[in-house]
Amino acid sequence: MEREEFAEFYAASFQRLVGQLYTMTGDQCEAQDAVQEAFVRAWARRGKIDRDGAPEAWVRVTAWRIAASRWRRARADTRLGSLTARPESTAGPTPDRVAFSDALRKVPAEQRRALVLYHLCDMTVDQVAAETGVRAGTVKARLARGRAALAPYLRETAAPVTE
Amino acid sequence: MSELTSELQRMADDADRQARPLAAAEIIRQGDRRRRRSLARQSLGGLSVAGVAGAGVALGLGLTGSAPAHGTGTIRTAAFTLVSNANGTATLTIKNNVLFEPATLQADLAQDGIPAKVTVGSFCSSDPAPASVSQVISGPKTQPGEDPTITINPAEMPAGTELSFGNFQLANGGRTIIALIDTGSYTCASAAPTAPPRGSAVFGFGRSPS
Repeated sequence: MEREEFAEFYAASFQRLVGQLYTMTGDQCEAQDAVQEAFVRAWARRGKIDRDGAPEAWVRVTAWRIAASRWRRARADTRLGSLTARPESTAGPTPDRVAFSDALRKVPAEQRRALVLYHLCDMTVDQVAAETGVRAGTVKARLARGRAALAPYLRETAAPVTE
Repeated sequence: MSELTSELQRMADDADRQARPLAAAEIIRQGDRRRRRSLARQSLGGLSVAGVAGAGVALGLGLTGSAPAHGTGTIRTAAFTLVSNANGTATLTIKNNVLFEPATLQADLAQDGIPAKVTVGSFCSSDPAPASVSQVISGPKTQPGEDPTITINPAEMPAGTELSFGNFQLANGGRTIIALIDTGSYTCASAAPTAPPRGSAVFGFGRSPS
């Protein structure tokens, strides 16, 4: 990957990845920081990324690992995102949306990651399993538990998980 | 689209609208530095790396003298180094793991012609921000093993503004949020904002070592 191509890739995917990492971590600053660091590593190891052929997935996985690594060092807490206070003022969210965001932050990190990859990144269960390094059955269980935790905050009944 | 997908998408959209990416050239520059260091480590071998680490400790001790050393355009304290550059900019390096004294940093920035409000445990901002801080501040993100450095160009600060530095020690490390504020209209909050305010920048100053 040459400089120009990398710059285009960065410009096209940075904000999308920050959005995905934010929904996984619940922390805007951490999400932006982790994604930026992941892009730095991506450029430093671009030969490997060229061989793998899936640069955006590589950056997302690396950013997740960076965020998770920082979280593990923060021994005072048990879950990603739960350290972070909500903004004192947010531009116009409805009470339902605030409640949903709070509920999502309480979902265990790996369940949240599976929910984001499956629902937001539009991956299949097998693709989520490949990215997260667990079996498809584990992904299904995480999705089911995560969706059950969020169901009280959604008006509709969740659709079943499909392959 | 399911309601769950819609809610997740809305959260992600909110976050990506607020994201303030560094320039691609800066990411590439940092990536090149990382690659060079990695190659250097591989070629140096374990013993030499240990020697480099030892030198780093000695340098750290040298910087932690109790009295700031003024002169030759450089101010050094235990917590930060501020260098006045010939082109009118100033380069600020804040040492990891050393809590800086806000009044000292604020006074030293002022000495370099940079009006600033430096706070610990709170952050002041104007709504709307008078301008994006990115027009005033440039600099790399923190590299592992190095202290974060930023360059401030006071000539780019609009009249009637100052820089707001809000430092928070969070459980997962230090955070400093920097924004331009209107000196005549700003508010201060004691909670670290989850999302950086529009036009601000976030730096991992004071983060615990890896």
